[in-house]
Amino acid sequence: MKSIAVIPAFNEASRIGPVVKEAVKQVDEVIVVDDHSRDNTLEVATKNGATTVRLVTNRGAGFATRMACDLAIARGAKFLVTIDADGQHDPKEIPKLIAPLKKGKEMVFGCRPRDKNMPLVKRVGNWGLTFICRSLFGLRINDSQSGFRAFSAGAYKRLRWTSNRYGLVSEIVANASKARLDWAEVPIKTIYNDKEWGMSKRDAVKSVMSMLKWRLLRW
Amino acid sequence: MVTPFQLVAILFAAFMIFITYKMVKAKRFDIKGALLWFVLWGGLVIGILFFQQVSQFSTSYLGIEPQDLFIFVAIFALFWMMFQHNLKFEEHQKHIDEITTEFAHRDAKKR
Repeated sequence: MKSIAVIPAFNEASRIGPVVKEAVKQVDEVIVVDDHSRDNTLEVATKNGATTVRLVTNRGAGFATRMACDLAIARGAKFLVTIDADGQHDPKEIPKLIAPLKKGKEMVFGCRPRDKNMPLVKRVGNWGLTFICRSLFGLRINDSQSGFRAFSAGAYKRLRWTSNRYGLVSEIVANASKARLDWAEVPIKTIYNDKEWGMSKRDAVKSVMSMLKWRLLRW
Repeated sequence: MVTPFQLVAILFAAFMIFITYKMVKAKRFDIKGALLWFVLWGGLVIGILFFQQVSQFSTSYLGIEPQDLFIFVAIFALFWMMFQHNLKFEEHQKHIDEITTEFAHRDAKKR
């Protein structure tokens, strides 16, 4: 059963190398979609063993991830894993996400513990966004904002999002709830080595707006 | 008798009608897009030249002051244009998505 890790990347030349290098050991293939970076993200990813594609213009994380997933499906993936290019997710945990899929689950959410490894501001923000997400969509997940997720190829057809930017995180939850996917949650490491990592306050506000939008569209 | 301010406003509107006509001739504007501007600028000229009649019409038939009528028309026109621009913008974004996807698939086939 072919498993492919998909990594959308934008200006991550300094961080993507180790991510790809480890990810290629955990899955059958790694696809990196370079969202028109201004540095040599593409070259670094290719050098470390990823199959790479460069977008001719910047379209956003949602677009790049969707592109990568479409390519993965075209290349015969049965399981897909989305992982961030900036090192926030440990590729060594990929098997933990895939294991429930092999047992029949359709979608797996990676859940970060809100412990001292997560800056306080991020902890509060994450709790708030997750609370709003749970209230709006009824999915009892504990971390709605983590991009470290896995799903089967069949589930992807029902999950496939239209958001081009950060709205994809919420839209995936909305679609998973709407499709009543058989989902699971696994604990993953919290990695915040740089205070700039993670969602900014502006992105958090946009995330809430997009959650409200997806909730309204479901009615 | 036309006041200096009215004269300036009429000349400006006439100038804008002329510019719009030139843009249509240079094919930078299609006739459909230009029609709105002809109507707006033309309406302004008529409104200024026949202010008494417009005033009578708006107070007798619409129940509002003529200046309020001008403001409402301007706001409606602005909102309509914003709506059209938003639609065009979304259309262009979709088109960019399609082109980017096409190029990405071609890039993927090469690798």
